Amino acid sequence: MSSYLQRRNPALKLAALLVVFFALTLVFDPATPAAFLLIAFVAGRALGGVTPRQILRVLLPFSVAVLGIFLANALFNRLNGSSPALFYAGPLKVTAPALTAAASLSFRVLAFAAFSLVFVKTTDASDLILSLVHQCHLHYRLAYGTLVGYRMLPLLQGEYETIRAAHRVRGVQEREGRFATWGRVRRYAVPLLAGSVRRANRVALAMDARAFGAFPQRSYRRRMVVTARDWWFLAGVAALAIAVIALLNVVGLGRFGLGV
Amino acid sequence: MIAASHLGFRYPERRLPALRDLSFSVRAGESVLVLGSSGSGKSTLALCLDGLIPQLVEGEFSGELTVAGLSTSARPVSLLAQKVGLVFQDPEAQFCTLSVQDEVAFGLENLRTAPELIDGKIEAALARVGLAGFRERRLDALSGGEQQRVALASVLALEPEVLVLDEPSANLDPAGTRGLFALLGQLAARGEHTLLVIEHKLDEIIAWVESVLVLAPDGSLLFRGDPREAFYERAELLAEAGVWRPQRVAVVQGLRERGWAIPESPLSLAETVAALRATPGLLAQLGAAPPASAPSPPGPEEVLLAVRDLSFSYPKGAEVLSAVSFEIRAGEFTVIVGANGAGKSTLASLLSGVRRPPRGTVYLRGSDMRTLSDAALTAQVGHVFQNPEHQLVADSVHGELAYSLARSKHGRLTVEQEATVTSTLQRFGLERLAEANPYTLSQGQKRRLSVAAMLVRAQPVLVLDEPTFGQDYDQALKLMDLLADLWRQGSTIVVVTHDMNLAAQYAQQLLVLDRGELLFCGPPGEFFAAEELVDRASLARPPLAQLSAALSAEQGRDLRLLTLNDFFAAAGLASESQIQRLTDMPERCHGVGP
Repeated sequence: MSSYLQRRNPALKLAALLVVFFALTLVFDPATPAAFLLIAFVAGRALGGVTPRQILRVLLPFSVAVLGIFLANALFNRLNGSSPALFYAGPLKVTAPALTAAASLSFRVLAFAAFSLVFVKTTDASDLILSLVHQCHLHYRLAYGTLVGYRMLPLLQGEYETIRAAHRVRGVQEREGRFATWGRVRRYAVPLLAGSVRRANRVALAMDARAFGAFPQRSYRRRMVVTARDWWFLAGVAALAIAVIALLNVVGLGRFGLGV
Repeated sequence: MIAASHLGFRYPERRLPALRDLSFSVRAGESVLVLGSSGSGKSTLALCLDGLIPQLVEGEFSGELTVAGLSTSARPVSLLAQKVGLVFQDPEAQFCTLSVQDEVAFGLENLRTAPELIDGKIEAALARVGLAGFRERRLDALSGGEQQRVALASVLALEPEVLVLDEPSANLDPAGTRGLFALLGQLAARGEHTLLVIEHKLDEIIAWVESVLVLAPDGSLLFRGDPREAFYERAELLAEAGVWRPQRVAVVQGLRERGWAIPESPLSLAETVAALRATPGLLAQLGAAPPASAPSPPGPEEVLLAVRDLSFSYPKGAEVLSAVSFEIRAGEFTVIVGANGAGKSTLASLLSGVRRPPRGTVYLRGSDMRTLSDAALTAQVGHVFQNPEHQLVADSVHGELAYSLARSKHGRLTVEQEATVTSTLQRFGLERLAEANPYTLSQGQKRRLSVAAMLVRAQPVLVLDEPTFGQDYDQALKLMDLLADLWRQGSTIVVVTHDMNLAAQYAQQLLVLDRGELLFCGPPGEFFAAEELVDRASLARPPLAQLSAALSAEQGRDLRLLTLNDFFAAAGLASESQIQRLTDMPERCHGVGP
């Protein structure tokens, strides 16, 4: 039925995600983040039922931005000045340390994205909110505020599309061209904000009308629990991260550093 | 159960109070229909009953209001919430969770109900609204009617003594409305709850309402008591206050004015049929008249919009429209109806080019719409969106119209254009608001402005998506008046609506969509006479078509009386000059329920 990752407690899964993020910030070679990226694909498929295709669908458009990061870092790195040239890209000198740094950064961003996607795909929004209340003692007012906001996102997106179409019918595009960015932002922002404020007001009234905030604590139909398995999962993720970094360091592919 | 004495409330930024000096009482188990024009304070009253006013909404509160023995200004809202359940207009806007069971559990959890009891209460609440088996469903996967039932279940779970519903059917399609009203009727009959319903669809709800409470435009109490007395004896008073009467009542009163001696004061369908039957000679006269809404012969007019085999689906979505074909002639008034999700709005947006149709499917004056430029398209077809705020682009009412006419961004208007703006503002009753910021207008004024801004360019075709949505009777009427005027001056009008009354009265051509397929295309009389088609499309017959069908069954022949004028024309005794047929002129004054 549900996958191993779907059954894990959301708060601890979030902690595991943070462990991975932290580990990734400590390495400066391309091989380690690349290995993490690979692990995201394998673990996502094996433990979360997230197919590589699903990950790629998000990662590919993302790669365009990553390519930009890579080129900027490879061509305009300050290490280029002090190191011997590997080759020249036109007037620009490209050096080995710059390429390494750029590749490391790019893989790191991709690995971040892949792990986040696996997290999102295997976590139910309501469960995460409940878990943050139960495990992290987030106040329920804040938690429900977040949930209401989450509910509104798709509505906002739909509304934005409608407004765009509505303005096009008024002949907005044909006239203003591309330089009226400020006016455009304002034109979209005002109706979106007006609608959101109204909707937020209404939902707040509807919640209070059902005794929201009656007591400092409320009961919960279901409680998110942390089992020994969840702790083992977190420990396992940490152990794996350390093992990968250590192994690649020993082999000589990895470069690990604190505060470099 | 409810006692108000000299209740008053004023919102802080307003000069005039929303409610003033209201004194009334409601006994336990009573079903009350709350009426009043827009801005008369109906919704404000609903918020007062739950203590949200004055405890959470700021303003100047005066007087005394007690519900179930609790003072609404002194006892905490969370306590009042257990006595009063509030259901709002837009189901989507009152939810705060993602699934049916979480939503129904929400109030119970707030009151610290023991978790082991909650599941049973969810089941019980869902069973009462006819949604047993829905608890695991996601809210966004439900229809509007189902969502509104979940909203009702989520307050029923707290076992309130009083239920207050603020226009619960406004966002629902006819089938959803019918289901919701049937459910409310059951609740009323059981008598366990005191029911206060704010509603515009009078004919549908009047059968089980025990009393009415009518608010005057200034927020004071106009009438409190028996619905028969209100609609028959106080008809003028109500009309002055911008409150309409049920269509069936309008038929009876109109026939009486024409000399027919109709006994009693009928409200429900059965009562009305009985009263008309008891009127000497009336049924025979109605039966003898030629069918009122005979199909109009296809005119020689130019085909303006031709739709050929149009199928459409959104990226990654299922097919919204499949193989739809029809034509719209110049100067024709077309109405598109269908259940929620039938594809009405999509079809409208393809007709006006808001969404580009596939190649070779939609032709405007013979040219494929796909090949027309944005500029060419917007010069020909105007599209008025459901929410008028979405189309506002300027800082003043005058600016909105000027924007439509100006050829360049900061271009000045010519003297002629300036005159057009002025005359359009006058025509739409907006001349005194010319300098006002569009966002400060009332809902009805905003809607008129959005139509005016579209119309000022004088496109030959105007497409309107739910133009009467969220408007009270008076505003809807003004708008339909304007559209009828335009149509008479030769504009081609296409309207998408949930309002069957509006469809019956204005449509020359009715398009009925059923899950993306064109189920019917023709005069509305023909459609509403075919019961199985109406059912298949999950629609409902407008009140007068129902009355006509009930009388037809008695007479053994199809009367096809769709509008007040049809009834009056068939019954006779009115001078012929007053009676204009639907095909000549849309009936302008009666029965547009928003």
